[in-house]
Amino acid sequence: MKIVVRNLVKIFKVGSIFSLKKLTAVDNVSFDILPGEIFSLVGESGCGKTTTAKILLGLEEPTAGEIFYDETPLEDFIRDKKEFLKKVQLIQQNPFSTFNPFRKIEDYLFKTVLRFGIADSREKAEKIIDERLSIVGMSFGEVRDRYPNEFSGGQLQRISIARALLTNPSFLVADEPVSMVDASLRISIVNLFKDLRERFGISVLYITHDLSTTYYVADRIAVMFRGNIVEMGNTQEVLDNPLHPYTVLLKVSVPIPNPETSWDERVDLSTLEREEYFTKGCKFAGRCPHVKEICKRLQPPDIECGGRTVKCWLYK
Amino acid sequence: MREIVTVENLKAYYFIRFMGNQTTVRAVNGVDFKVCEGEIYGIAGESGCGKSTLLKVLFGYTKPPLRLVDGSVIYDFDSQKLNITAVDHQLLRRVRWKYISYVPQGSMNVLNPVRKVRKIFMDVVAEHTDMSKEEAFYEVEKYFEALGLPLRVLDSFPHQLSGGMRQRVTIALATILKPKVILADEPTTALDVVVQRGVIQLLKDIHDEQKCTLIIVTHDMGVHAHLSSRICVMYAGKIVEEAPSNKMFKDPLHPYTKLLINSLPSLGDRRRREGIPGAPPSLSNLPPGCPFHPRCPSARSVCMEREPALVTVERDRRVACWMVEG
Repeated sequence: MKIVVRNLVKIFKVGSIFSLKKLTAVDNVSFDILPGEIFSLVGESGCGKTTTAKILLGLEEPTAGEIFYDETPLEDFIRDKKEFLKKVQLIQQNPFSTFNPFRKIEDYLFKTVLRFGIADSREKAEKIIDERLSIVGMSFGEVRDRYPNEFSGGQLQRISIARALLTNPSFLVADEPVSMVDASLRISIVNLFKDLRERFGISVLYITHDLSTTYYVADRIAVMFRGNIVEMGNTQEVLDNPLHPYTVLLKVSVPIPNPETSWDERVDLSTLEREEYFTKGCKFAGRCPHVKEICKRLQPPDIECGGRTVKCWLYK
Repeated sequence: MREIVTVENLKAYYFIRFMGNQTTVRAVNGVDFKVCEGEIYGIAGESGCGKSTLLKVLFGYTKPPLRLVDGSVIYDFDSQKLNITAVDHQLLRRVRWKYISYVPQGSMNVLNPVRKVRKIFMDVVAEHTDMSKEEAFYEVEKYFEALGLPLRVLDSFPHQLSGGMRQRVTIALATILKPKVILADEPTTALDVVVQRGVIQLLKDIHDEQKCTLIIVTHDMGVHAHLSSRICVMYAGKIVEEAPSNKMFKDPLHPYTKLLINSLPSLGDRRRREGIPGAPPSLSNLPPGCPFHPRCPSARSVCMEREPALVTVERDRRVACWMVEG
């Protein structure tokens, strides 16, 4: 499935009536996700990546902008909720809060199959469930009659991926799918996305703050900062040779598991994180080492630069 | 180097009684290690391997259902020995903050939401020293300046600060009385990479300046690589490997450490990596023999029957594995 996002804007109103401020959580964001592509949105908390995902899933109303799923606008596509959810599925961050602790795991799986009319009897449903669970390396025997607390975080995350696969989706939104999973099991979850893409041609929107798994799994990457996409392009190109000063900062801050690499430079943390949303010019200007006069006054445009888009005056 | 912390055969279990069923969770199951003065000692492991419980016991915080079963934790402050597992409440109060301080997990949420940051600091200083309010007021400001934190923060409420700033405030709070030993539980977890780097930088600064001893618990091997000078890896309540960090990453000996380090993706490398099969064991129902044998690719029959001891293989390396012993 091809997803086209054009000039997406989401403005939240914050504060009381007297100090009402408009916070632009998503600011003029445009990107495409091609069929069978793993597209990654990367950024710090509060950069608008989850808000973007919520808008794509129709859980949040955009202030402005357009979204097309295979040329159908989102508003038309979502009118038939069942059909929409069949095609578009979500995988959430915390596998422990995805499932109600008082409900059996199989209950979730059967309900999904029967409600979406994928199978008409429990026997057929069981076959489909077993097949989907085998994709994620589990079997129906393992989940029969068991409650969520009997599984580890990694297993639960696998089950929630299998549940999402039950409807044969063509687009998966994965919101920080591995940040709550143990380090030793993390890579196996990430591998699943690679396999799904190869076997079924599913498009994946992979939202994360972890650059090392992004580099491992994603085809294309968009780096978000305070609501803007500051750099977008091929993952390998962007992360091997970042252009935007914020991407550079992100890249060098990743703790590489090798004690021989060390941080020589000191990092400047912003003390006015909320204020950065309200600045007029480039939102990174307060911390940027290459800041110029124009950066503080005017927001930089999206500049094409060797096959990728960079939002920075440096490359004008 | 003088050994400031000596942990011997430490066993601390959770005893849970529910509907007449007694469950014993063996969270710390025979741990011994020594930490030298001025060292940054890292404790690594997955969730549910007992690393946070170990840190709680090191802080003398054993409240039911957690109970100390065996062993001792001995601190050596200026040749005054102190067994924290056997001191009374009064002494514990005097030792905490001034000699040992603790940064708990999720510590950005420990600040009192209805008190300004300055008040929280002054409470701590007034409680543990004989400073007057006035002196404490300036002492706190001086300390904030020394750490490079903005003074504006002192007059805000915790909810007005970002998560990263709250985390740095909590670390400042734990270190304001210049303790000899700082225990930090997952100090950088749930922070963004850039903020995480700032917190690591802050911890390093404090360590360099105050010449204190740091014991850091985190599951993130990347953080250990940048912070710790010596690392021990825990699995199912036990130490499976202990080594200086450069040796640990270059040449891990225990199969678990090997798989753990190999499973970490890194920038600039898209080669396919594999995770460790299976899942960590439940601490209330440990497998017989070596607790890692159900997931270990090189398990032999001896691994299923007897548990390997933590043996010294080199001067500063210890490993608990039948394969390494020979």
